[in-house]
Amino acid sequence: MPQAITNVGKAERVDCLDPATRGAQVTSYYGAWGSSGTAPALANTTLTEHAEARVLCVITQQTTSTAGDTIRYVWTVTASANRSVQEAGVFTATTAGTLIYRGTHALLNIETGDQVVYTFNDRHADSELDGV
Amino acid sequence: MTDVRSDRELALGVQVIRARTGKVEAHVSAADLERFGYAKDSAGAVERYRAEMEAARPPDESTPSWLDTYIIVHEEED
Repeated sequence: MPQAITNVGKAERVDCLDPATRGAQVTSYYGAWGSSGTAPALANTTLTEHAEARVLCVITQQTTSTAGDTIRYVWTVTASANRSVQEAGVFTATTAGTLIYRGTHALLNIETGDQVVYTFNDRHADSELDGV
Repeated sequence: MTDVRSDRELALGVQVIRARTGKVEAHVSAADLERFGYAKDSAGAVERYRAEMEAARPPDESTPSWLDTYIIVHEEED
């Protein structure tokens, strides 16, 4: 299941770290699903979303390798109609907004009332630190 | 697997809860199984994956047990 932290997502993450900009960043994130199976790319900014509203993510800190090195976004979407689903993403707003993460998965044929639980784990591994 | 994660490791989990049957399906790609060290054509790979996921499951009542979950492996290249 390929995933990407998008270019605009990276910029948003940096804005969250920058004391000059972090106060203006959102504190709620919303998960969505869609029908496109096109592989994630850094330039992605949207999904081919289905009609279901985006869902508020439950965000927790997790430990993968070292304490608190992973941030986890979990949401559950309930199908209001039969759907073919192949992608998911996390946005900064319920509509429009910035696409932080996008991932694709095998085609799922979802029936009305079925629920899909998505989990994105973003582990901060060996971040690149460039000096001058 | 297309690696566009640069300095971070990003993972996506997908679980389906079927309305008609109440069954829980965990969807995983064969590529991810191999990435995690479970060769897809080895004997009992899915069973070992299930057992290790169950052992690692946090004690959270709201989390479905992997013992009750159908693990569906997708063979497509990703």
